[in-house]
Amino acid sequence: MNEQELEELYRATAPRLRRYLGRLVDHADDLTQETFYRYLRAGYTASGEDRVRILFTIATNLARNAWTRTRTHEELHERTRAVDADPIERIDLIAALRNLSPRERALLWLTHAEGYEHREVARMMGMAQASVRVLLFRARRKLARLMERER
Amino acid sequence: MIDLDKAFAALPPAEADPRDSGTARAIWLRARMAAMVEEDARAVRLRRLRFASAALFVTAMDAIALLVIASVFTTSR
Repeated sequence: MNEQELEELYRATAPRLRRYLGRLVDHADDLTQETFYRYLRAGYTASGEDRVRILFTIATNLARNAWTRTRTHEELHERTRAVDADPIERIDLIAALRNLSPRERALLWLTHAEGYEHREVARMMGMAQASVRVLLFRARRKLARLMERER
Repeated sequence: MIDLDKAFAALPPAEADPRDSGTARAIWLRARMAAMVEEDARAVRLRRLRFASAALFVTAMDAIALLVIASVFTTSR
């Protein structure tokens, strides 16, 4: 990968990674940069959407390392801005996500915000597909309950 | 029951940062420099290994030569 290719990939993918990492850790910018650095150093030869999957896998691993280091479910800084969507639903979701564990947040985000399939999420998070299904079911139920309570 | 897909879709979209190009260049430079430092360290290690193997070869040949000379003398008597 040359410098220009990296720049294009970064501009196309960094915002999505920053948004994902922003739900998991409080230093999303640093981890986004570290994700790309590690991707480069590892010398992957993937292309297209495979590159994005690898980046999300690296980002998930980095976030997981950060959780084990801190062992706290720190308060996340919200970077919301006005969009056309229903603001009440948005605030409910953000508030409810804060009350989930980082792993649950990652599972939900990769599935619902990024639209990855269980198989892909399992690979990214280093778990069995069956575990993803079970954990995701519990996380969904917990999130829905939290959102209903906040209404 | 809340529609989670709808709730997630309602979140703000991923925002591009105008500094992204500069950051990408910085990451590229950092990776290149790290690769160069690693290559340098590898070259130093290789040089040391070559020197050590040459020294071992000389020592071994020295010992073999002595053994050959000694065997020639003992068999000729």
